[in-house]
Amino acid sequence: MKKKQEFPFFRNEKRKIKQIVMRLMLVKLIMLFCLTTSFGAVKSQKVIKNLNVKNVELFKVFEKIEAKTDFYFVFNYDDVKNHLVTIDVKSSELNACLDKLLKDLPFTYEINNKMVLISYKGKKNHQTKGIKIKGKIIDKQKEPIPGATIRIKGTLIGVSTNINGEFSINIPESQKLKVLIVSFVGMKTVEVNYSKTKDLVIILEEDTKELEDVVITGYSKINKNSFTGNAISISKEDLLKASKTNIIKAIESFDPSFRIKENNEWGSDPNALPEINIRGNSSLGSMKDLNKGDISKSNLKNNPNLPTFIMDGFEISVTKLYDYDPNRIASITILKDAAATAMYGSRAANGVIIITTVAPKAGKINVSYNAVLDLTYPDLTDYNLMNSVEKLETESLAKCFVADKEAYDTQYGYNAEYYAKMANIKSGVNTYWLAKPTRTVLNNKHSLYIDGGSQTLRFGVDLQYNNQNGVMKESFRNRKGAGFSLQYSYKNFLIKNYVQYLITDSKESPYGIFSDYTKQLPYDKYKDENGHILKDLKDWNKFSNGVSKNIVNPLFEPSLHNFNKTKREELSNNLSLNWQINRDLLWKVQLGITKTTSEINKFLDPNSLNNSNPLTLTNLIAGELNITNSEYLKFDMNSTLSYNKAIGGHVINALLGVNLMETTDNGNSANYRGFPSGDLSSPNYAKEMVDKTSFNESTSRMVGLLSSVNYSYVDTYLLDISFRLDGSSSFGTDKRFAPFWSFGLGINLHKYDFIKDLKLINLLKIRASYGSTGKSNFSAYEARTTYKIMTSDWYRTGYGSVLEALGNNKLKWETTNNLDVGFELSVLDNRCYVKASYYDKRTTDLISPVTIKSSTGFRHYKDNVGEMSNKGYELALRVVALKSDDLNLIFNLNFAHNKSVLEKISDSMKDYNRSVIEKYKNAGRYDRDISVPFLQYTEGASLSSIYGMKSNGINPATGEEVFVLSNGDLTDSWVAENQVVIGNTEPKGQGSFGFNLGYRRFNFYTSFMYEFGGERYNQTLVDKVENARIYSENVDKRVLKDRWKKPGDIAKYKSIVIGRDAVETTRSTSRFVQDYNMLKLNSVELSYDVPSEFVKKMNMSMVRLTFGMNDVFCLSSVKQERGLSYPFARSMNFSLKITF
Amino acid sequence: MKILKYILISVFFLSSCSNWLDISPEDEVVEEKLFKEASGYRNALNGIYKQIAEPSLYGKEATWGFMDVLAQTYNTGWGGIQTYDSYYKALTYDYELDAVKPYIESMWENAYNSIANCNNIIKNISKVDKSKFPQGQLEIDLIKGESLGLRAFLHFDMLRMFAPAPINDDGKSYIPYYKNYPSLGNENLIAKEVMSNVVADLVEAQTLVVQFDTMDILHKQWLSERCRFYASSSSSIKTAEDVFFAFRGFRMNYMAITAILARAYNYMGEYEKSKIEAEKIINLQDDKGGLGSLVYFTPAEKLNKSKKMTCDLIFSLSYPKLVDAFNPYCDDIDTELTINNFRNLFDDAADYRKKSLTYTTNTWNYYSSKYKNNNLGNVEESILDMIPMIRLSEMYYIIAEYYANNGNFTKATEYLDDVREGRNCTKGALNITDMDSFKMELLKEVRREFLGEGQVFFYYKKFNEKLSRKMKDEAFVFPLPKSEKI
Repeated sequence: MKKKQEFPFFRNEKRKIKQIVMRLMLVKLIMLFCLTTSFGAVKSQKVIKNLNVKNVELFKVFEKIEAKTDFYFVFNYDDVKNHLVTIDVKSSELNACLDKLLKDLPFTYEINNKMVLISYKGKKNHQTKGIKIKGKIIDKQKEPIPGATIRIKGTLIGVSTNINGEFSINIPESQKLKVLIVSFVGMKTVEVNYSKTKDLVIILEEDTKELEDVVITGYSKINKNSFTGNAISISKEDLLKASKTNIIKAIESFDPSFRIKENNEWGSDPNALPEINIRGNSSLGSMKDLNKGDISKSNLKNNPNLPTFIMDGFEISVTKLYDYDPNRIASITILKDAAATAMYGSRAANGVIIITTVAPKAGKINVSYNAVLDLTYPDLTDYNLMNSVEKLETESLAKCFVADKEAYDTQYGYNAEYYAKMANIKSGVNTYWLAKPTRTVLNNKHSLYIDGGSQTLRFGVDLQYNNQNGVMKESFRNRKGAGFSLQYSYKNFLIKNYVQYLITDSKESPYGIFSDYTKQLPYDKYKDENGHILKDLKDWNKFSNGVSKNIVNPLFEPSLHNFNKTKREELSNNLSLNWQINRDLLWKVQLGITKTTSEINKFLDPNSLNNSNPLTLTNLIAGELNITNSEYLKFDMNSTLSYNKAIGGHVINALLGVNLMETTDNGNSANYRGFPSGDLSSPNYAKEMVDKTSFNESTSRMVGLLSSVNYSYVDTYLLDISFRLDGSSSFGTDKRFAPFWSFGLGINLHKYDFIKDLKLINLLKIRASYGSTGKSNFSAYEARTTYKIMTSDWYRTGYGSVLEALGNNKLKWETTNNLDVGFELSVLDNRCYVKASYYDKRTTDLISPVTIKSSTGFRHYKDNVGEMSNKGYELALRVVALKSDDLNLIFNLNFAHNKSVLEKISDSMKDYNRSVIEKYKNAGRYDRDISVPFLQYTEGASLSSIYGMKSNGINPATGEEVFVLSNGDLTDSWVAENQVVIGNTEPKGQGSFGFNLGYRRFNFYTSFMYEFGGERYNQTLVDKVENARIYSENVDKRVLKDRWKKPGDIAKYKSIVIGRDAVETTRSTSRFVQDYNMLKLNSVELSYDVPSEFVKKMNMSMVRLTFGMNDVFCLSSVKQERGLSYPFARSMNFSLKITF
Repeated sequence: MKILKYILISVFFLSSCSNWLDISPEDEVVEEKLFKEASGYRNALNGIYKQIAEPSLYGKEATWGFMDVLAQTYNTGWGGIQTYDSYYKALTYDYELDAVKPYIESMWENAYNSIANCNNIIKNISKVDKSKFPQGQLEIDLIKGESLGLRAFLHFDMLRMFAPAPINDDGKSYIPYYKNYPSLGNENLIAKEVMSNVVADLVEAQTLVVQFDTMDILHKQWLSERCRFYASSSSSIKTAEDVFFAFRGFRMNYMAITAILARAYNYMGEYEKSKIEAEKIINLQDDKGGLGSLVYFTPAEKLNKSKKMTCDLIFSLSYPKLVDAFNPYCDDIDTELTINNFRNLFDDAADYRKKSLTYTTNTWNYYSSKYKNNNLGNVEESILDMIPMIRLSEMYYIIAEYYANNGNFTKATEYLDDVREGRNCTKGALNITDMDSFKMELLKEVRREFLGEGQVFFYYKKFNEKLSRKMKDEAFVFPLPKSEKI
C-alpha cells in the first residue's frame, strides 16, 4: 500500500465520538479548494526526536508525533482512550517509534502516505490476505472526485481517492459485511455492495443537506451541531421556490422575524426599495412623520433599522441585493442573536444576512440557462369606488343639486348641472380612471451561467437580464449584469477573483401619483372629440356659481415629455487569497472594491404646469432639468487566520482577523432652466443654469479587530465566544473605538445515552447566548465640530468660515444587548423538527439629536439618549408527512411575536411631540393633511403606536362624536393634548406556513403569510367615507351607509355634509382603529422535471418547467385602499431551467 | 514562528489605525485642522463679521429692517409698509405673532452662534504658538481683542433687545453670557451682571487692540478714513498690504471698541465714564501727527460720492448683497420703506441729511439714500456694501447726555449743536432748558442722524419713551425665542 496517493492536509472539523468512524471519515473540508489541490508525495519516513512521555493517554502521544512530523493519525477515540503509555525516544524512525509505542498494546498500525492508521491487532491480517477492490469515484458530470473517502463498513479500514478519483482497497477475508461507505464533503454519502469481480464506478450526488450542517457566519463556517448562535439558512432551491425575481421578498417566508415594512404608499412599485427589519425596530430613525416628503422611496441610506448584508465576505447595499439575480445565490443565512453576529460588531445590531454566491465547479463546461416570463397585473380589488351612475346618484342624494335659498342661489344652475352630468352619462361616459395610469405587463428575465475548468483552474461566467416593468405605465426597473469568476489553486494556495458589472436603469411613471386618479369623477371625459388629451377637465361648479376654475386633467402631464430616470452602474471586484499554512491553520485575505455611480435625470417639459415658473406670455423660460450624479467608492479588506483542531474530545474552531473599510461618497447636482421644447431635453438646449453646481462629499472609515472561538467537548457541550473591537471615523475623537462581544453556551442532549436509548429523539439542543453589538448608521461627520467655508462672498478682509455644527467628542455607538435562548428538537427519524427561541434585545445609547438652547449657538447636537427594547419569541416547525421515493410532503410553519417598547426618550423627541400638537393647533377645521394620525414618542409606547383621541363613538342624540379626555370626562371637541395611544400596528403574531409536495417529477409548493393581533388606522374610511368630498371627488361605495341621519340613530360615521360645503376633517380618533388580521397567499409554484431519457436525447442534463403565482390573494380584516401612490400588483410566472 | 510573523505584520498594520480614522470632510473643515495655521484664525474671525452682516442680523433686520420698522421709521399703507407684510404685523409690537417671531428668533440665533464662534477663537488662540503668526504676538492680540470686542458687542445688543432698559430694570435675569466654547447652555443673568461682563470684555479688547491700531504712525494711518474704508494708498498715506490688516473700519478697530464701550457706559448710566471714552474718540480729531483727523464730520461736498458719511463713521460691516436686499423696498412694488413723517423730520432746510441723504421718485414719498444705488450722482461703488454700525455723532450725544444729567443744558446743547453744524445745520436753533426738552431734541436728532441704522429704537427704550400711542411698556423687551426656551 505504498502507492502514491494524492492526499493533502485534511483537517478535522468534527468528530463523532462513540461511533466507529475513522478520523479519515471525519475529515470534512471546509474550503473546497483543499480538496482539489494535489501534491506530490513527500517522503513518508521521518525521524522523531525527543519524545518523552510518562503515563499519558495514547492519543496524546499521537498528537505529539503529529506536531513533530507531517504525519497524522487515524484512530478510533473510543478504542484508544483508556490506554496509557510511557515512551522515551531520543531519535528514531517513525516505524521504530510506533513499534515501540504499540508493543504492549492491542493495536497495530499501517502507514498510508502520511496517514497512520491505528487498528486492533487481530484485524490486521487484511493486508496480506483478502481481496483487493479497485474503483473510481465520479460525480454526475462524470468528473473524478479526488479526496473522497472509502471505508469498509464496520471497520476502521479506509482509503481515499487520488487525483483521478481512483482508489484501491484491500479487504480482509474475515469481513462478512461486504459494504463500502463512500463519502465526500458536499456529496451524499453512499453505501455500495461490492464483489471482487469487477472494478467499481461510484457516482456521488451533490447533497444540499450537507450544506445545512454548516453555519456560515461570513468569516468562518461552523458545524451547526456545535454552534450556539441563532441562525436560519436558506438553500438556493428553497429560495427560488419562494420567488424567482425578488430575493428579499423570498427571504420573508423563511424567517418570521425578517419583515419587509408594509408599504401601503408605494405598493408594488419596482423602484421602491423595501424597508426591512429583523426582530423589530432597534432605532429611532429620523423623525420623519411630520415631513414625509423627505423620505425617498429609493434611498435607504443611513436607515438605522436595516440589517447588514454580507455577500461573499463583503458588505453590500440593500439596493444591490434587491437587483441581484436569485439564480446566482448558493445560500442565505440570517444571523440574529449576539453569538452569531458579534463578529460584525458595530454593524450587527439589526442582524446580519450572509449571502454566498455560486462558485464555479470543475469539470467540462456546464451551461445553465434560466428564463422567467412573468405576467404582472395591477391589483385594484381594494378600491371600492363608484361608477358614473352611482356617483351622480350619490351627489343627488347628498343634495348637491339643491340651491341654497339663504344665499339667494337659483335652482336653475343646479338643475342645469345635474342634467349636463346626466347627459354625459347617457352618452356613455363612464371613465374608469384607475385603469388610465395602469397596465398589465409581461416581463422577462434571463440568466445564464457557464462554468468549468480543471481542478487547478476554474472559471465561471454569469449573465443576467431582468426587465421589470411596473404596473403604472412607463415605470420600469431594468437590470443587466455580467460577472466573471476565476479560481486558481496552487499547492496550498487558492486565489479567487470575481468581477461583476451591474447596470440598473429605472424610470418613474410620468403618470405621477396613483391617488390623483382615484379621486377623479367617473362622468368626466378626459379626451376631446378628436381624441386629444384635455388639459383641463370640465368644471361643473361653473353651472351653479358661474366662477370658472381650472381643473387639471391628471392625464395631461403624462402626455408631455416629462421624465425621471435613474441609471445606476456598479462595478465590483472581489479578490480572495487563501493559504492553508498547515493542517490547522488557514490564512485568508479578501479585498473588495466596489464602485457605484448613479445618475438621476429629472426633466419637466416646458409646457408642464408643474414648472416653478410656468410658461406664460411674459415668461418664456420654462422647462426644468435636474441632473444629479453620485459616485460611491468602497474598499473592504478582511484578513483572517483560522485555527481548527480536534484533540481528543475537544474541538476548537478559532479565528483572528482584521477588517478595514473605507467608503467615499461624492456627488453633484445641477439645475438647468428654459428649454425650447419637450423633445429637446439635453442640457445643451437649456437657456441657463440655476445656481452653480452643488457638490458634496463624505468619507468614512472603519477598522475592526475580531476574534472568535467555537469550542465543543465530545460534541455535547458547546461554547462560543467572540470579541470585536471596532473603530470608526464617524465618531467623536474620545470614543473612536468600542468593544463588542458575545458569549454562547449550548448542550446537545441527544448525545446523552439515556436520550439515545429512547430512539425517538434525533436532535435536542438547548442553547443560550448573550452579547453586545452596535450600530452606526449616521452620516460621516456628525460627531465633529466643523467649520463651513463661506465661499459665496468674501468678507472685506478675506474669506471667512463659521461653525457649522457642534461636535460631540464623547459620542458613542448605539449598543444593543441581546439575550437569546432556545432549543431545537428533531424527532421520529427527523420527520418532525421544532425550533424555538426567546429573545430580549435592548438598545441603549440611541443616537439622537439633543435640543439645546439656541443661545449656545446651536439648536442641537448628537448625543446618546434613549433606550428601546424588543422582546419576543420565534417558533419554526417542519413536519415531513410523507417520505418515499415517489412521494414526499413537507409542512412548514413559522411564527414570531415581537413587542417593541420605547424605554426612554430624549428631549428632542418631546420637542417633536410638541410640534405635532402645534401642528394640530395651527391647522384649520378643514385642513386635510391632519386627517392622518402622526407618530409621537412616549415612554412605554412603541414606534408603531397609533396616536389619537379615544372615542366613544357618535352620540345618537346629536350626531357629534364623543371623545374621552385623559381624566375620563367626555367632550365633543377634539383636544390635541389629550391624544393617547389608540392602537398599535405591530402584530401579536406573524409568520408564514406552507407545504411542499413532491410526486415523481412534479413538485408543488405553497407559501402563505399571516399576521394577527395588530391594528390599523383605516384611512380609507376617514378620507373616502366620513370625510368624503362627495361633490368634488370620487368616493368609496360605503359613503352613504352607516351615517348618522336623525336623533336616535346609532351610526358609525358622522352625518353627511349636505350639498357642497367643505367637510370638516375628522382628526385621529379611535373610532377608525380596526383590528388587523391578514392572510396572504404569497406564492404557489408547480414544477415539472422533464424525464431524463428525453432530456438526454437533447444533449441536456436537466430541463425543469415551472409555473408560479405571486401575491395570489390577500385577505384582511381591514377594508381599505392599498397602494395609494402606486398600486399593488399580482403576478403569474412561467419559468424554464435548462442545464447542459 | 510563522504565525508570529503574521501577527506582527497585523499589529504593525493596525498601529496606524487611529490616524487612519482621522478624516476630514472636503466641503467643511474640522476645527483642529482650521486652527493649525494662522490663516485659520483669520478666516474664523472674518467669518464672524461676515455672519453678523447677514440680513438676519445687521445686514438688514437689526439695522434698517425690523429694528427701524419698530422705531416707526417708515410709512405704512400704500406707498409704505403694506398691511399684508410681516413688517406691518411687527408694528403691533406683538412679538408672539407667527409673522414676527422669526425676526427675533433669527437675530438671536445669529448673534449667539457668532458668540460661540468668538469663544472658539478665544479658546484656541489662548494656547497657540505665536511663531505661527506673521505678526507674532501683535496679531494674536489683535485677533483675540477683536473676538472679545465682538463677543461683548453682540451680548450688549442682545441685552438691549431682550432685557428692559436700566430705567425699567426689575433685577430679573434675562439673557445668558457665554465665555466658553463649547457650552451646552448657560444660566440667564441679570442685566447688571451682563453689563459688567460686557464692560470687562470691552476693556480687555481695548487694551489688546490698541497696540496694533496706534503703535506707530503707519498703523494710525490705517485707521484714517481713506484707509479704513477704501484702503487706497497715496504718496503720504500707505495702506496695509495684507488685506487682513487693511479696511480697519470694517472690523472691531480700537476706535470701534472705545465707542462701543462709551455706548455701554452710557447705557448703564455711568455717564462720567462714557464721557471719558467718547472724548478719546473725539480727541482723535486733534491727533494730527501729520495725518489729518481720523474721524471728523463728513463735509457736504463728499456726500455726492458717499452716502454713508464715511468720515465720521467709526465702525461698519460689509454685506455684499446689501443693495439687492434693499432694492425690493424702493421699487414701487409691494412694501416700500419710505420715511415716516418726512415733512416734519427735519427742522433745518439746509440739513444735508435731508438734502443729500434722501430722495424721492414722486415728490411725496421719500427714501433714505443710504442703501440705494440710485444713480443720483457719482456714487462710490466700493462702499455699496457698507452698513454703518457706530458713528462719531453718537459720541457727541453721549457727552451731551453727560452734561444734561449734570444739569448743564447749555453744554449739552452745545454738543448737540456740534453735530448739527457738522450736518450743515445752523447753530443755536435748539431750545433746551430741562431734561424733557433735552430728551425731545435728542430723540428728534437721533431720528435724523441714525435713519436706517437701527439705533432709534434703543434711544426711545433708554428713555422709556413710547414709539406709538398704542405701544405697551413690555413692548420694549423682546420675548426669548422658542428655541431658547427649552
